[in-house]
Amino acid sequence: MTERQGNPERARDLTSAEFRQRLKSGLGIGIGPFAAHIRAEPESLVHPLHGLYANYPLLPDDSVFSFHARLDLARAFPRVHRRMLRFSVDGQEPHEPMPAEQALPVLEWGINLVIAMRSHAFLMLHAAVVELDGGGMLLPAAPGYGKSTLCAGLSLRGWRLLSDEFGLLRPRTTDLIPVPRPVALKDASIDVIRDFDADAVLGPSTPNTRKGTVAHLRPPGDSVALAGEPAAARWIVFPRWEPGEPSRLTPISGAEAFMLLATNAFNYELLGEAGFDTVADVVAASRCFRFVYSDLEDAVEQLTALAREHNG
Amino acid sequence: MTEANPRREPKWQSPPPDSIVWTRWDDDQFIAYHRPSGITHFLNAASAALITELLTEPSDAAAVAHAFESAIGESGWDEHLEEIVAMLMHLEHLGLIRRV
Repeated sequence: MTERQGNPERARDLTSAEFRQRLKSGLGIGIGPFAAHIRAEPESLVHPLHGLYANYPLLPDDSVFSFHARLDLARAFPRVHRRMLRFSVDGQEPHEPMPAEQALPVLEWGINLVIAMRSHAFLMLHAAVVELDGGGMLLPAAPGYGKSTLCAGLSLRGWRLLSDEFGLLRPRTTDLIPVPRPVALKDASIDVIRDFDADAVLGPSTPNTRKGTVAHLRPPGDSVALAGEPAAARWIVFPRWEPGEPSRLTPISGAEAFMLLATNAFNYELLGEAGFDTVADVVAASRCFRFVYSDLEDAVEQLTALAREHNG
Repeated sequence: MTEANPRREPKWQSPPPDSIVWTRWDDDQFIAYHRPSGITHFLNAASAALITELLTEPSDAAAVAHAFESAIGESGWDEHLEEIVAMLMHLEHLGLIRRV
């Protein structure tokens, strides 16, 4: 195992045994602007994590890490209770132990939780973010509105994935900061994506989680490689999946987009006037729409046409 | 001997201009960030005009009705004093104007 000249070492450069050893002793991974240190005990995580994070840069042990996340098998009363996992970040456990068979979603949720709780140097919108030909598209939505499925579909049709969960903006700028992560798909969306693209690389499905069955889509290698390059915000599209509905883009006013975006942010109120200014700037820089869809292929075509119309 | 105290109509006034940051959208929609509370408000053109133009001096509801008449060029606003009072009290409740 040697670092390639001029390129950071990536998870795919490690053998499975090396990855296992690093994961158990502590693995530094660059996730967009965050330097994550992950230490995980469950053996079941090794293969899926190695696959999902194959394209991510590995960081030296002496890096300054944004957070240290750990996933440990809970050892209390092993013969009485089923095996559980403790997720902790910098020594604090943000929630109760979770079932050991849900190791991958617990770790992924935990990393998202850390980002959401701590990244107040950014305005954090609850949004997927994608980019085509230099134009960034925010897809803000509450859980269950189909934003992850939509951004997965777009990322499998040539759009760059910046995030399936976080629209990050530095205060008083309109550049969207990439934080590409494995895309969390739930229930029927898993087969939708499998059917949508036979080459989509998905991790294992985990049934019976608090969010149903969960599987993660590996982000495209190009999206991870370009994680240091922001995208200029150009469209804000509020998606909503409605069964049986044809794809429909409806322009909305800047004021409506402003209020939808502000109420959708993780930390708008915490940032105060800087949050207000940032939302105003990003809305002013963007065309804003509501978007109802049911068929993913058609939805991807419509949004691609919207982007091409602007860029053409 | 004191003069009989005439019934005083309540008056309202805008806060200092630098206490609210404004953005305007599509000519008639306004979003205001109220610095003292840190709360963001979505306002129509009438409410925005009240705060930014019509209540720079203390005014009661009748004076506001008159000001609306002058600003819009339509008479009859004095027939809607109850609605104007309700709007003033709502804005006062939000902290966007104050009673003086």
